[in-house]
Amino acid sequence: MLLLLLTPALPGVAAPAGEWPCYGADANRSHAVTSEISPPLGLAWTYRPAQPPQPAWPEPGKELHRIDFDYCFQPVSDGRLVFFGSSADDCVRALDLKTGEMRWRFPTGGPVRFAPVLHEGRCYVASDDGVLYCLDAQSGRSLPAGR
Amino acid sequence: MRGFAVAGGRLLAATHKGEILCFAPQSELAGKPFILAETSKMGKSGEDKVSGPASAIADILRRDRLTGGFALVAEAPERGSAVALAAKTELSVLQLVADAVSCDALRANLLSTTAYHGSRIAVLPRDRLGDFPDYFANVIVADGAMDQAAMAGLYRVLHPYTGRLYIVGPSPNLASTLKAAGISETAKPVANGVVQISRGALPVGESEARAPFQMLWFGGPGPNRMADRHIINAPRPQGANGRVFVTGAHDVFAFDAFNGRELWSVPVGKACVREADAYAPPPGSLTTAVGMQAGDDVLRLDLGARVFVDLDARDGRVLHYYNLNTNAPGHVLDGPRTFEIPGSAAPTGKEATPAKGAAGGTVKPGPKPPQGRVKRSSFFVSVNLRVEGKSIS
Repeated sequence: MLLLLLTPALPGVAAPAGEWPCYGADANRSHAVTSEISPPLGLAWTYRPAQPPQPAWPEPGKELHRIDFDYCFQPVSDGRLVFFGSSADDCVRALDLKTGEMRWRFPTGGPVRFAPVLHEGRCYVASDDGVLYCLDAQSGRSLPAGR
Repeated sequence: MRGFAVAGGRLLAATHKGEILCFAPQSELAGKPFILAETSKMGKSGEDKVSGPASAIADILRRDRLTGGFALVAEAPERGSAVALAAKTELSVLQLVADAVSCDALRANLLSTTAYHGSRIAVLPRDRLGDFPDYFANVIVADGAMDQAAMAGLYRVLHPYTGRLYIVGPSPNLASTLKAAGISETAKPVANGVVQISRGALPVGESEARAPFQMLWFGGPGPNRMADRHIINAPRPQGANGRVFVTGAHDVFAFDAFNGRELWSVPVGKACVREADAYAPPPGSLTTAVGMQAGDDVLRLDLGARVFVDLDARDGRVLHYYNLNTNAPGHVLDGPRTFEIPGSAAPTGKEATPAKGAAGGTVKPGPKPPQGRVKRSSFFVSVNLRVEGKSIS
């Protein structure tokens, strides 16, 4: 029963066509989508941060038995914008998927280690400051948050 | 590459450097790839840009070798203490501001003018101070106009033993405010408009373990660096003077007992591995740590093979060795004899000498010493290690 109640609030089992709304594309972390890409591909744009990721734990191989969720800025996308959080400057950013230009940047109070989750026009972000942020995906404006 | 996504017909790749790369079908590409590079602004907040009381505090901390750990800044951000500490020390700085609106404004300002937001400076509203555990802050910078309740709240999180509280700006009733806040240490002027309070050891009632317990910190050294839990004879972690010492598989670590920060580590070869039971290290080599004694200022390791080393508890620096092997340089014994090492709380570097009035065999030249990391050796039949002052043995 609990699962049924929660399911509508989570991304569907399969990601909507053309989207990658959470880490691994869907709630099953399948890393699979139904949309197509047409090779050959070429580099369209690159985002370079001022500071590299700052993982909570040492690199895999140097340390065992740690999950490796924050060794890069995990991107998600609604097909128009690319969203990712930073464990270095504590910000969430939205870039234009086509051009790579920055649309907005939202600072939180701690490192952002997990990929954002997109759902119905909102961008949900968990920060190490203990706050779950709910942002308007298009503007980056903060909506009521919870701790 | 450490992460990827596919959306809108494009492939996104994320690297360990924090780059996001977008790949598109050739038919959609036009011209050179666009590069959005967020340049570091660290230079704009370099040391040459920092001045005033905040800079003086940072200089004092550098002089006293207290540049690591956590700093809490509870004065107006316009005074620049957070940026000064970030620029001139390695402290992780937490700036408290009045409310959420002030938070947003300061975060935006730090992002646009420095590269410190996040990795070096976190900004939180003042009412979040209650979320932080007792004693975590190595340094606190407070406004002189604070009332006794605010001052008591800050003192709650000030680190014992080495914690520093700096009060900046006019404070006409400072003595009475401190007294009312339960702060008994003396406030000492250290710079123009800055007074310093150094917190010492906790009083007896506070230093004892008090239930119920809850987790204060967690983290290193981690399973890969830690000694095998099956080694039942491994030296147990020990604490002294606000520090915790742990023997790992190949290193000895020191942690801040109150906030878990790793203070230093010293490689000691096979410090604590299972093979050490059957391993016969050559005399004088630093390959095992079979015993450990923690003191206020010194950590003494028994490295096995009758070799001891004293480390500076503050930074792990080697103070001196005691090598009790019989094939040490210069001499061998042909009979029993008693020697002494005149140790002290400060490193003496002195070799063992025959005890005055002690009878025993004669001493004659021996073979050359083996080449190794041990810098100082002596020869003994029986040895008394004496450390005066703050005894650790």
